[in-house]
Amino acid sequence: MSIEVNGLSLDLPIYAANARSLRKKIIPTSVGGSLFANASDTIFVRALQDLTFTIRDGERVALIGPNGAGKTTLLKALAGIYTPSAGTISIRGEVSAALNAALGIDSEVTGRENIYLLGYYRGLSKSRIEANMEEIIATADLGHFIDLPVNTYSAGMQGRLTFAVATAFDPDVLLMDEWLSAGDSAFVAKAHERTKQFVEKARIMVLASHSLAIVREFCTHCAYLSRGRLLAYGPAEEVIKRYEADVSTGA
Amino acid sequence: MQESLPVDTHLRVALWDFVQGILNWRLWGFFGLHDIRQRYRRSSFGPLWLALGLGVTILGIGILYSQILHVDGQIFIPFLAISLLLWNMMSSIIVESTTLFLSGANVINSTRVPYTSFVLRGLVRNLIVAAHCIAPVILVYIFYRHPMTWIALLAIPGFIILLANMYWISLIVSIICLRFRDVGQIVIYATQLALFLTPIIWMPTQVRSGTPYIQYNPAYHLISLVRDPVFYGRFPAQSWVVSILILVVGMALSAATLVRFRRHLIFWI
Repeated sequence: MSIEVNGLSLDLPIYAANARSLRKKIIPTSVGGSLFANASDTIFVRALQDLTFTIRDGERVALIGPNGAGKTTLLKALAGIYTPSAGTISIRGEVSAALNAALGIDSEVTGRENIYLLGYYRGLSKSRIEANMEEIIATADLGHFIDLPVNTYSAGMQGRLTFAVATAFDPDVLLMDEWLSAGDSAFVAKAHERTKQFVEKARIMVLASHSLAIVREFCTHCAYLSRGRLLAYGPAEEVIKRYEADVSTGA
Repeated sequence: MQESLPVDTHLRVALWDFVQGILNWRLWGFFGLHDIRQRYRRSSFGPLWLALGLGVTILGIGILYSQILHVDGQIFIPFLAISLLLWNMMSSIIVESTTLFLSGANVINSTRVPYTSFVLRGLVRNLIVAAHCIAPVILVYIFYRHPMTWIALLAIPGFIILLANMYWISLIVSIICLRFRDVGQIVIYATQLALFLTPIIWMPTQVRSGTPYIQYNPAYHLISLVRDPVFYGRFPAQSWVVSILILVVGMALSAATLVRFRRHLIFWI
């Protein structure tokens, strides 16, 4: 398993009508990528600029940085949702994108049937889902609600269901946008243990997070992004120190 | 900076899209069924309403128009039945295509899916609806004791070619309507108009032969693939030639469109 990113750049076009007026002034801002216009007069946001790094088997990488740095955009590019504008991404291994945990939920069917739906959206076969069914139901810990429609659940209960499904399968390369908080305190302790097991099953994990506690706990390396650029990539503690230093000096 | 990637990357991705879409047919088939179940949940008759609706339409239009057109109901109503069945399926596929990717926006933004899977899912949905609607057509043919020959079986390969054509039409309409939101409206109006301009509620024998409304009407040829063997008991050689030609050109055109624009689709949602 490996992920090799080389010179990756990603431009997001803006089709809004009032983007025209932005062309007159390119405003440097502290959030988001840089705005510019190309020859054919469409406004672009350069969300990612010339990223190069390599993730090896067994590494768990956190993407950290201020809002609008490009963390989610990078995850989507790695997931294959965005096609790079320049540069290459080479991934060896099967990618499991857990960017939107609730993807596929149909609130009018039962929790049990939703487990199937959530599994299918992750490309899993019926037999594989059934093999893990008991474990998922036990983890979600919803009692008899598992056989009631999901629209009778509270938000926390829904979160537990999606969490149980998302962490039930062995991914090669796991991409996660931070959503690891769900449920009441009894569940949180259980979720913590389960997350740990799940994360350790993944050969490679890339996680976007604002919580440095989670980063320190689960991740071996960090990528520090800001305004679409990769400012630092390396072992977790080093990069976190650099990030914290920048934050305190108000960079 | 947008086009700095080599063309073969775009080709490879488009090919992956096409192949994955087809390989995972079980998955999209399941979701097509799921879409139907969702649509008719908590309704007592569910999709049987569609069959009922078609039956009522066939009788209503059939009895009235057989008088207007001075054609015996014995002949006209079976003609209308098969024509409406096919046209309802075709127009529903086309109209659904105008917002196909928009309705899948949640999925497209969350995970890597082949865009063609939405097309296939739509085809499965409409096939399920058409399967429910076959019942009133069969009843009509039995009631009027319409003569059927073994040639009717040729409708099956004809139907496959029809579906293959609906695939590329759905794909190209989806892509264009995603980029240009007005085109969806145009497509819907054009489809409504085509219902009247194509021999569906009027028979081809009632206009002079060689008229452009029949000869140059691709909808006519696609419908004839199935209608001719079933209703007329004849093999529509000319329609086959036209339909396969349309298929080849259409597939090439939609493939080229996918290759060129696939990378942009997510930004158009």
